[in-house]
Amino acid sequence: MEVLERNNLAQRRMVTENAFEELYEQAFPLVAKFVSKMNGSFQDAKDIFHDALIIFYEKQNAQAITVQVADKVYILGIAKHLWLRKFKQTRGHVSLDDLEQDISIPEDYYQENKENNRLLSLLQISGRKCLELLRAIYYDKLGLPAVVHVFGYQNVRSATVQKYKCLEKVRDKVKEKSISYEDLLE
Amino acid sequence: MKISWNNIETIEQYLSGNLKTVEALLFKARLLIDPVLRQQVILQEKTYALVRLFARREIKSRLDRTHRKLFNHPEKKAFQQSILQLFSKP
Repeated sequence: MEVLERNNLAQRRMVTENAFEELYEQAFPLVAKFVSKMNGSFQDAKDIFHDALIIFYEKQNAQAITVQVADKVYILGIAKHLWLRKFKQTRGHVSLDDLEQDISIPEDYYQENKENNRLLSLLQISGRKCLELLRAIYYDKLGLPAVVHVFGYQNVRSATVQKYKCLEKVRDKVKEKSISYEDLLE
Repeated sequence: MKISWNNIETIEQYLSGNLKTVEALLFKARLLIDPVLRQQVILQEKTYALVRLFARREIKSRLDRTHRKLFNHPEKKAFQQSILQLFSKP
């Protein structure tokens, strides 16, 4: 039942603004308490918490959370890792239990990439609709029937056609606008 | 057009590790001899990375809105205080 609930978070997010809000109220106190214990600021707590929620959401969508534990506890575990990474503290100062030890942070999460930032700004102007659709499919991992419903397509077939059209459109745009052409030919 | 989509679909399956063993081998062989295909693969990887970046940004700005809402709403006074007192200097 809980697993069912979790997989529905993406769907619920499309329908209601409240999905994150509930989680916010439940989990932020824990993370704030941890950050204040580490002598971090309110702003630190907010930043770390937002990143932790995003990573939690990604893990849920990828069905990568296999332990049975309350969402807020898992989010705190992610936040501890983010704290360690951000402030380069040693693990000695932060105690991680067995569950928390096993939590991983996506490799690309803190990679600042100017080229990608620039490309995204361009894409948001010329291809926002496609970004929204691709996000729903690849990031939120909405199934195609749900995509049909949310985006108002006729059927799964037309949603699939649109998906590939969009992939091609964005890919062509990336090709056209990439400066680091050498990167592409590596 | 159709051929191009097939290409996109195959690249997608290759990148997500969903090609069958034989197909994957064939695809790798094609990659070796076809620089255009190699470039398409890199561009498509980049496309997925950009979609991810877009999504993370969108969620972040949504969380900022939620944060402002929670910390400004009169009905959430108790919640606000329980957090803020953690950071007030003794």
